[in-house]
Parts: sequence; structure tokens; C-alpha cells
Amino acid sequence: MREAWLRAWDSDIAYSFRHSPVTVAAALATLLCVGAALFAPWVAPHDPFDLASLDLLNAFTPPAWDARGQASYPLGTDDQGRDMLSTILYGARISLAVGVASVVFALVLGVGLGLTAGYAGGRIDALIMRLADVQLSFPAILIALLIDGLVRVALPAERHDDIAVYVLVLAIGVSGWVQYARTVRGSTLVEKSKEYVQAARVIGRRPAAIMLQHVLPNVLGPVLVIATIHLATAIITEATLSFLGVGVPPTTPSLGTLIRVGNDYLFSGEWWIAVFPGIALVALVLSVNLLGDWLRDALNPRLR
Amino acid sequence: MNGGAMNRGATNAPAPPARVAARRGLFARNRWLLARRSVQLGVLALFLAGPWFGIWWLKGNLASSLFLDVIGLTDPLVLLQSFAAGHKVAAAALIGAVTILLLYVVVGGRAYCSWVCPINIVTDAAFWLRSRLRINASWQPRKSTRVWILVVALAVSALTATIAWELVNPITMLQRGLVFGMGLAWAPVLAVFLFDLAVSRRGWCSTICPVGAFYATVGKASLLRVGAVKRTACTDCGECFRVCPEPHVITPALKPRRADASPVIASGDCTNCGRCIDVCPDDVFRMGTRFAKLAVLLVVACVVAAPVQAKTFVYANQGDTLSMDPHMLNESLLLNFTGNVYESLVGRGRKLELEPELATDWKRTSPTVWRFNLRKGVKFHDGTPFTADDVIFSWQRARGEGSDMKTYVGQIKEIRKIEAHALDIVTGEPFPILPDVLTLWRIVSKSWCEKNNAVRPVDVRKGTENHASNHANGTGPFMLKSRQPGVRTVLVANPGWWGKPEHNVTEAQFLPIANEATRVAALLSGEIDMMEPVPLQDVQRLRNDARLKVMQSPELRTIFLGMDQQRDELIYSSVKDRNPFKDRRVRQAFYRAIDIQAIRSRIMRGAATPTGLMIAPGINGFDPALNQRLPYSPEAAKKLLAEAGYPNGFEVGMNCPNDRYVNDAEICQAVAVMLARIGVKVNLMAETKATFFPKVLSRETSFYLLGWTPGTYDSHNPLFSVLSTPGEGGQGQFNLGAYSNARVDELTRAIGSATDPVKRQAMISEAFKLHAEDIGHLPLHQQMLTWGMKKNIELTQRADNFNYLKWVVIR
Repeated sequence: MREAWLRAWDSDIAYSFRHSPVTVAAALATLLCVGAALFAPWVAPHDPFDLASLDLLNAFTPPAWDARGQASYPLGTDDQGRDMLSTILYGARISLAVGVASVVFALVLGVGLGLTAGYAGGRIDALIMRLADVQLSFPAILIALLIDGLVRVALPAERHDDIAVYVLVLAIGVSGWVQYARTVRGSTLVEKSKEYVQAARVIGRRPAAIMLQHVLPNVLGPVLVIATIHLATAIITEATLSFLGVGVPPTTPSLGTLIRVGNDYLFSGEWWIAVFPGIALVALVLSVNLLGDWLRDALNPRLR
Repeated sequence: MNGGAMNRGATNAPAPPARVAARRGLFARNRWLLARRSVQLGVLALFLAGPWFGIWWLKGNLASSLFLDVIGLTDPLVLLQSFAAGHKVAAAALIGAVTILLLYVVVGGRAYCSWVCPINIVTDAAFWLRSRLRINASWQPRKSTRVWILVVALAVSALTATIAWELVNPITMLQRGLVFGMGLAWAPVLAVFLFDLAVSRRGWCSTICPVGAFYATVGKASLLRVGAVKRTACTDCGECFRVCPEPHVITPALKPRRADASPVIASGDCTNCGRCIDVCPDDVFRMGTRFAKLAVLLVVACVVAAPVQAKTFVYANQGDTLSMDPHMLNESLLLNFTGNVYESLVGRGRKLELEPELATDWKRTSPTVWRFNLRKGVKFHDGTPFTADDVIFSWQRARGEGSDMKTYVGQIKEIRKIEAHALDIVTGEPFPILPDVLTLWRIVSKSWCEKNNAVRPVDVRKGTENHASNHANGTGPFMLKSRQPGVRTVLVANPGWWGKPEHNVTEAQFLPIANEATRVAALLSGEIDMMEPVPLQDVQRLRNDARLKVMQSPELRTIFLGMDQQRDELIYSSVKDRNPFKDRRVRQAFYRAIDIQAIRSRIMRGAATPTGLMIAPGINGFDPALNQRLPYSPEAAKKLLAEAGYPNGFEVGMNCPNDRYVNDAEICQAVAVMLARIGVKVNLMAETKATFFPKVLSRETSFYLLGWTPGTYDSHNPLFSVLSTPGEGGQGQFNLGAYSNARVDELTRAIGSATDPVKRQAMISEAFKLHAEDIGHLPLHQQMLTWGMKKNIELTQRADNFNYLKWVVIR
């Protein structure tokens, strides 16, 4: 066990991690954000979803260091008297959840389609990749808006709030699968001609088994990098959609929703309602991005 | 500069240029020449800055251009040729040509030739070289040649349908050559140069060029002129004649036959180049105006004309007017906006007082019959005259299927046409407040509606559009120019309006801007002139801005919550098989759970008056003694809920607009929070009014927020429309939860026909008291009207939230 630890500690990746202070800081920040979000119910001083605990008379309390602030609301309160710190923690939770879920969704979809395209080739390949090309010519946010709009039209208005999160995951996931598919297809084309794949084919394994058990493990490296960077993008996309008012509803606010609500009060001096969720979003996305950058460099032998 | 002059004469007096040099410095004695060259090069640079350096201040060429992408300029001569060629002339080109023409009427027609035309540099160079080389031989074509060329150019344009002269015009060729590379353009320019150098002294500009001929015609009337004001000081040195491109213009002014003749150079041929002023050693010439008095007049005219010029008023609201059809939705914003285009028989003034609009006068001829005399000579925007038939048609339209305005015409039993401009309105019962009720019933054109298949208004509950939704044809002071729903609606002043305009708006643009921060930013940046409502959190900021002002006053609108008390099972609730709102205790629990003071201080920031009544002070019939709210007490509310059988509360869906009333969605959110404290879980559906109204007006709601301004400013209107049991003729049309109390209905009917004010007030008070005891609705507050605008805007903020363009003045 100890030896395994030592080997890991001495590995190339761990070495490059240890010697990059920015990465270490980013990792710590990510851990802090994720941890705070995951444990929000225990960390947060208030429960912003418990409407019964809110008091309108506490609305627009400035942060605690302001003379009019209250110690029980460290970052102040919003227009309905909710504690900003708690809403940010709960909001980050929703942002992260949507981000991770949509990345997983995009990853599964993209890797699956990429593998199929690369392995099957021919018409299936052409069909999938042209589809990818077409989608790539649209901005991701536009695709997400389109899907969101379609779902909203298809479903009755009173159901929107319940399914908002799933719609978001679907929209962001579908708008992001192309990168995975392209990368995986490229790697698959390379792997396909290698001898171990031919050997597997010769002994009569089914294509699905070859794809999943032989090719997939060998093409996953770059996918991991894309996924990390995509996580940051997905969180931003979610925030953008929520800011535009088509994301999660205000009753269960994500960071983007919080910024949208705060935006109305920016002119009037109640800056904390928009600024703190904004800072939280920047911190989260920046640290995830830095981690992703590092991972890309560390896994790329040519950059070493 | 000129050696020839030095040798002239044997007098001892120094040559004129030397005399000039002795009195003025090099710069001062070439002032006008330098100024002229700077302007010439400046204009050229403006045109070249675009293609050469990408600075597109001026796009196009001397024939036609666009200044700063806004102001179109057109060479009037080109336009004339284009006209002769039979091209359809665009309005923008016409305006551009008139702009240029006016400019040259002021500065002198042929000022174009000496101050703008690039060929002038070429011909001036030729002239200079000519005098250097002492070429004296000159063949002068007849002066009228260029006029003939002009006539021929126009004739050829007409015959060939081309802009003929522009095909050979060296001016535009030179300019285009500079932009795109000279190519063959050198040839005509060189030809002009050689012609002026070898053949004819200043021959091109003064005898050949038809552009000069055209501007000479314009210049006959021009204001700015050179005058030989000190002609008595003339020493006959001849210097002015030598430099002048059109020497014949000088003689009548400098050496008149009659001593009292005007010293101003009157000929249109003069190019106002000012060279004579530069070279005269005796300061005879001066740049001045033709008529000093006229100049003053012109300035005065400009100042006076200023208010008549285009004044565009751009204003924004948080939501759009949902239609241009005045019978489609009984909503203040729509009635207000379409009220700029359509008018009623009876109108209301700035203080809500009744005033004649399409009817000039009215009187009651029997308890149920009213005689209305209609205004004569009124025309709809499409030119058709307004008659009694339009009134009868509008009545049928407003009371018929699809109309949301039934409540205003429901009392009318019959309209009898007496003659083209007189009619009798018959009510079912005596109805003394009839004129008050008619003020929001707009008159539409019968022929227009029939022609455009818009006989019936679109039912808001069904939500399809017809021609009248996005087009309009009224009699009002403004006409609809264009409409993009949700984006921009443009109105223009109606020049043929029957009234005397008190506004100076020529065009008004209405924009819906839902986002509060964006709306504030638009006002701060100057993009819009006025907007409402000002987000309450930004009132102070706008007040602090030196360019802006905020108008605030109490509104007549009452904001309230309504509950479905009709269905046996609510459509949005966790409670099945019964309707909790049928239990008065539940309604009372809701009432007592709402902390109206917290809403007032936090969400409305003080800009609201909590109310216990369904009407505001200022509405006829308001009884201050009844304006009492049940005290706020969540404990009492919880107890009431338990008594009613819901100790743990229940779930209910709530419909709320988010762009109609001040902070409407925020109020609903706060109510949801307050109800959560007594165990009621509210599922809030806050949405834009375009989807909210169709839903709640078809009663697809369990719990909703609404605002009501009595359109007649009398208690009868809310009693009839909001508190009465839904029935015929618009009764209870906006009683969306179908609250019902037979005694209230009975009182309302009696109030409609009551004439004794004391008895009437007693009935009104009784009706409101019954409603308050029943807790038929949950009244919240009256909001403040909060409008923000630029300081130069003057308008009337009517207490019913109407902002009529006919009272907008832009300073």
C-alpha cells in the first residue's frame, strides 16, 4: 500500500502537479468550491429553500462588515431576505450538478457516437460526422437555447419548473457532444488498424465488445481532458441560460439565476446581490479551467 | 505673383499687389484663397477618408452621399437628371437634394464651384499657368453655351433614361479617379486643363460646365454675397477684374450706372470665391449678405421653425401594448397607447375631467335616452369621414364576441341614428353616469374594419391575430406608422387631426424593455426620452442625475389577489374533491398572513399605500371609514387554517405577471414566502403578461394577482366588473375567481341607476362592506406612478397611469 503511494507520488503526473503552484492552488479552490457545495446543508448558515424561515423585513441587508449589516448574514441578503452566502452555496450546488450531469451526458453521447463512427466507418461515419460539422457551425449557446425553447413549447407551463434542470442538462449536453465524438473518432481510426484490434477481430469478438473493451480504454485519455475543460464551459453555459431567464427557476436558484436577480439592483447600490454570486462563479470556473489546462499539458507527452 | 502687372503703366504709384503686400501679411492677403483651398481639400478628404483610411464619415460621392450614416445628401442636378430620366426618386434622395439646395441658397449657388468642386483646383492651376506663360489669346464661347449643355443633358437623360451628364462629368470622374485609381479619368481632366490653359480663359467653368449653369440659377437667390461696399475708394487698378473667374459680375456693383445702385454683386454667376477681397489694395470688397434684414428674418425663421422640425419622442414601458385593437384587452397600457390613435365620444382631460372628443355635446332627453351630437368634418386616418354609422358599428364591435370591453357598453340597449352626425343612446335602465363610462370605448371605422376582415376583435383568450392587431385606422392625433410586436411601435403625428395640437411630437417610438436594469440604462444613456415604471430601487439614482427627472404620484390602481371560489376542485392545488377557497376562514387566513407593511417598505420601498378597500382614494364613492385592513397575524392565520381543516396547510398554484405592475413578481414571491410561514406552499407561475392575461382572463387560475383602475373613476365600475357575479353584458367580466354575493349584485344594479348622491354613497359603502366581510378578494395596495424622463420633456402624468402623446412637449 505504502509502495503504491510512493509510486504514485513519484509518477510524472504527480511530479508535474507538485511543481506547479498554480495547479495546486486551483485544485484546492476547486475542492473548496465542490466541498462547500456538496455539504451546503451543513455548511450554510441558513436554508434558503425553506420559505417559511424567510423574513421580508431582512431584505437588502448589506454584508456583515457594513455598518447596517448583520453578523448572521455574512454576505448580506437579497430582495426577499435570503442569506446571500447560503444561496450562493446552494446555487453553486445546482450549477455544479447541472454542469457535471451535462458533461457526463455529452461524454456518453459523444464517445458513443465517436466510437461508432470511427469503428464502423462508411456511411454511418459520414452521417455522424456531417451532423457534427453542422452542429459545430452553430454556437453552443444557440443550440442550448433552441432545445430549451422546443421543450418548453412541448410541455405545459406549469411543469416547466419541475423539469427545468433536466432540460438544461439535455440542452447543454446535446450542444457539447461534438468535441468528444471528433476526438474519439480520430483515436479510434488510429487504434482500429492496430494489431490487437485485428487479433480481437480474428478470434471472432463482436464489434460492440471490441469497441467497448478494447478500443475504448485506449482512447479515453484525451476525453478526460476535454471533459474537465467542458465542465467549466458547461457551468458557464448554465449560468448564461439562467441569466437569460431560461434556466433554473428563481425558487431553486443557480449562480446564473442569482446574478440575473442581482442585475436589477446593480444601479441602486445593492451591489452584493449580483457581485458575490459573480465572484463565486468566476472562482469555480477559473479553478476548474486551470486544472483542465494542467491535465492537458501533463497528459500530452510532446509538451513535457 | 504676377510680373505683367508690374510693367503696366508708367505711373509712380506702386503696383497693386505690392500695395496690398505693404498693408497686409502674406497670410492675411490670401485669406479667402487659403480658406477656399482648405474647404476644397477638406471636402475631398472627407470623401477619401472612407476608402483610403476606413473613416466613413461621408459615404458616396459628390453626386450622392450619406453623412455619418444619417444625413443623406444629393446633388440636386443629379436628381434633376434622374427625374428627367423617369427614375422613381426616393424620398431620401429628395430630402438630400433639398438639404443641399438650401445650403447653396444661403452660401451662394456657385460657392459649390469655388469652394467644393475639385475641378476648380485644376482650372485655377490652368489660369495661374496661363498668366505665367502670358497666354493672352482667348476664344470665349457664348455664356449661354453651358445653359444649352444643361438643357441638352436633361433632354438626353429623358431620352436615354440615364443620368447623362454624369457619364461625362469631369468633376465626378476626378473624384472617382482619386478613390478608385485614375484610369481613363485623366483624359477629361487633362482636357479641361488644356482647354482652360490654351483655348479659353477660365472657359470651362464659366461657359461650358452645366453644373455651374445650374448653380448660377440657384445663386440668383442666394443670401451670402460679395459687395463692393467701399466702391468710392476704388482706384481703378483692375486687379479684381484680373483675378475674377467671372469678371462681368463686378461691373454692375463696382461701377454702376446710377450712383444709388446696390453695391452687392447680384449676378448668380459670382462664385463667392472672395479672391477680389484678397487682392484689392483699397479694401473695396467685403463678404456680406444680400439683405441684412432678410438674414435676420431667416435666423428668426430658423428659430421659430425649430419646434416644427422633426421631434422624435422615444419612450419605454416594461411591457408591450399587446395589440393595436382598442377592443381587444381592457388593460390600461393598451387603452392608453391605442388612445393616441383612436378616440372616444367623450374624452377626459389632464385632470380626468370629462371633455368633448368625437361628440361635441350630449344631453339626457329622457331617463334612459341620451342625445349625442357628433363632431363634423372629422376624418379617419385613411381619409374616410367619421359618421354615426361608425359609432353604431363600434358599439356592436365592443359588445360582441371577442371583445374585452363589454363592461363599458353593457348598459347600452340601443343606438339610434338621428342623422349623419347625431344619435340617441338608449340604456336599459336609467344610467346617469353614462358619459363617464363611454370614455374608454374607442370608435373604429366601419368601412375599414369591414374591408380588412376585422369586424370582430380578437379574443384575448384565444389569441389569434387579425388585421386590426397590427394596423390601425382611428381619428386620433397620431397615426400608426409601423409595428413590430414586442420590439417597437412607431406613431407619427396626424396632420389632419381635428383638434389643436398641444404637443410638438412629430414621431413617437414605443419600446417594451422588460429588464429593469436595461430600461434604466437606456434612459441614462439617452437612448430613450422617457420610461415607466422606474424600478423603485433606482428612483434616487435617477433623481441625482442632472439630466433627468422623476415624476411620482399616487395611482388610482388597486393591486389585489383573487381566489377561485367557483370550482368544486381547484385546478392547481394539492387539495382534491373540495375547494379550500370556498371556506371564508381560508380566505381570511390568507389575508391575515400577508404582512403588507413589509411589502410596502421592502418591495415597494415606500412607494405604495396599503389598502383595505378595492378602490383608491380619488375614486368616486371611496369611503375612508371602510379603508381598514384585517391586522397581520400569522398565528391567527394558522389557527384559522386549522379550523378550516388544513392544520398542515396545502399546496396551491399562483399566477402572476412579471411585467405589468410595479414589482408584481416580487410581490407574489413575497406572498409565497409569507404563506409558507402558515404552511401553505405556493407554486408560483410568474410570466409575461402576453401569456398571463389569456390564462387568467379565461379563468384558468386558482390564485392570482391583478390590478384594477376603474375606467370610469367611479365605484360602479369595479363593483360591476370585478365584484359582481359573472353574467351578461360584461357583468363580472373581470371577477376571475367568480366571487358571488347576490346582495352586492343587487346593490350594483341600483347604484348604476341611482341619482341621489347620498343614497348612492350609502349603497356603495354597503356593497364594499359586504365584499370586505366576505373577503371576496385580498386587497394589497395602491402603487405610486413612477416615471423617469429627460429634463426637456414635459408631459401629463394622469392618475390613471395614462400618458397621452397629445400632451408631450419636447423642449
